[in-house]
Amino acid sequence: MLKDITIGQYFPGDNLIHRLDPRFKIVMTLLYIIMLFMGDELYSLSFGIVYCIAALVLSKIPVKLFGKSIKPLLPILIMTAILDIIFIREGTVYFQAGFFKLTEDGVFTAVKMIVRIIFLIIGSMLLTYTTSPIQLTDAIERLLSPLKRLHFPVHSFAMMMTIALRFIPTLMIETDKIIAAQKARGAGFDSSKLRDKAKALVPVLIPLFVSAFRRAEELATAMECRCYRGDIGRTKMKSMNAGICDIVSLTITFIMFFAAATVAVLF
Amino acid sequence: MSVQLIAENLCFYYTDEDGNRLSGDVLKNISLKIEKGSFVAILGHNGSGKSTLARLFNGILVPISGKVLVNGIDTSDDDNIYEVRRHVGMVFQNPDNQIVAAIVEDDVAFGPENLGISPKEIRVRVDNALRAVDMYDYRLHAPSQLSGGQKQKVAIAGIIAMRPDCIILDEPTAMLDPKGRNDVINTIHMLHREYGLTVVLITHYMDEAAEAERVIVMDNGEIIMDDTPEKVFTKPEVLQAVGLDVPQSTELLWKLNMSGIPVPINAINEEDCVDTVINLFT
Ligand SMILES: Nc1ncnc2c1ncn2[C@@H]1O[C@H](COP(=O)(O)OP(=O)(O)OP(=O)(O)O)[C@@H](O)[C@H]1O
Ligand SMILES: [Mg+2]
Repeated sequence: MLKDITIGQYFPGDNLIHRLDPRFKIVMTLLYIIMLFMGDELYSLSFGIVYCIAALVLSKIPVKLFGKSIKPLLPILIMTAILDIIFIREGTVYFQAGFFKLTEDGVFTAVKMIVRIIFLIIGSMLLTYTTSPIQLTDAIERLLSPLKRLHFPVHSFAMMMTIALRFIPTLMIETDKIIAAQKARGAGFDSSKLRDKAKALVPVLIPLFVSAFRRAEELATAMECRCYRGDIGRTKMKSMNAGICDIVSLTITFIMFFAAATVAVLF
Repeated sequence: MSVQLIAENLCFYYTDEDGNRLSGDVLKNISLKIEKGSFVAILGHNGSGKSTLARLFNGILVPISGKVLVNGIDTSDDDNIYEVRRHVGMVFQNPDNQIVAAIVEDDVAFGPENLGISPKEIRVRVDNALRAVDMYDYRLHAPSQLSGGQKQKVAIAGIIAMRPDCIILDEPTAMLDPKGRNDVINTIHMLHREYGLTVVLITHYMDEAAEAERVIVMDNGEIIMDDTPEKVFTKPEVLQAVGLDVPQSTELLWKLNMSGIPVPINAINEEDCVDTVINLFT
């Protein structure tokens, strides 16, 4: 179950999207996310959607994978939609029963919200699916490097992210194992009472934390043994070189961005 | 043959940051020389100080008194610590807790990157290291997709990509299934043979120790035996006195002796044992 979550996973490949400079990819993703949330009407949103679908096609990542990542979030999406529909009471009324009023604005906002969130997830997934975790964190390190002047520990921050991405699957698998072990001892995860559920979580979280700290200590020793000493004298196997492709892609993104912004302002 | 590792009158106990003692004497006046290119196994029951000794040999710990020299470099000198660790790689028991990056090849690159080697050269080293442990086809996999044995081989690749001349393995097979164990042990022997790497293998498996060139038995912070496996394992009394087993084949011959069938206790592996038993009947 928990193993199926594909957050932060990477699917090796060799195509335009995979080869893009990770720094550019991050900036492009940020622009794309802003694009999604700009303006109130569907016109500007459609730019983001078209942009995302184009990237999706180029990346050759099977669409099924995204479905799998979105599925666990469906309850949240549906909740948001229901709240929008209940609480937005303006616009043409389609249907009314007592307090409840189904209005054009309500439905419209709900649909927009769902579309935005789904595309937000797809866009960020696309970034992690096509960029190896090291490239991603290296790129973040490089993008944040101006903050070094303010004594922000940029390298440590990036290293923390690297390790977090590395250990997400490991800890997920471990959580599954602990849950199975506690179930075997009769722990009640299946109770519908929130109180019981919260209680059942304690015997899962404690061993998980204990093990995580032990892992952290061993990993720190192993890193020291491999001559790690922060970013002093450190080189990178995969150097980042921005090429024509990156510049063209970024330019296209900017054009889309400004087009979407213009549409958002005008309509 | 030149000397790779030297311990001179080495004493050690654990302390906290303020120098307060945390443990009894873990190592008691140990003197030891390990030759370049040799294959040494270290045995000893739990808490006998094997891991502590290993950590002293690459400067993760420094002696309380006495000296540790790696290729003639003193490990207690802070300026040389990276030089020491570059020469002596360490592999630990739990493969999961020594892999840093979420992609195999990125992890193997971690050590060389720390050494400040040029990107091109790192690429070459990573590919060679992965080929050496037969994991090249998995270079783009996530560690969580690999078996325990495969993960341990990745950890070994991560060390040999730093081109050390000595590798210390602290119970590298303890968490593996028999197949993974075999795979890892064969890899270690291959590295010793082909690359002339000095190997120090800490293990609880007598069969693994029997294949070494030299076996050191530790008990309670002291070295109680230091000889060829043939000599060490043919003294089952001594081993059993410190809570250790002997390889199965030695045990068989020993039991034959005990039950009144005189056979020489000289076999430490299966083949020799079979020969000895066959000789009984011919
Ligand atoms: N961090 C520590 N702080 C205090 N004492 C320690 C520490 N690590 C180990 N010891 C003590 O040092 C002694 C030797 O431990 P060490 O880990 O070297 O044994 P070992 O031979 O590797 O055992 P094992 O076979 O269980 O791995 C033990 O008595 C242990 O309790
Ligand atoms: Mg140990």
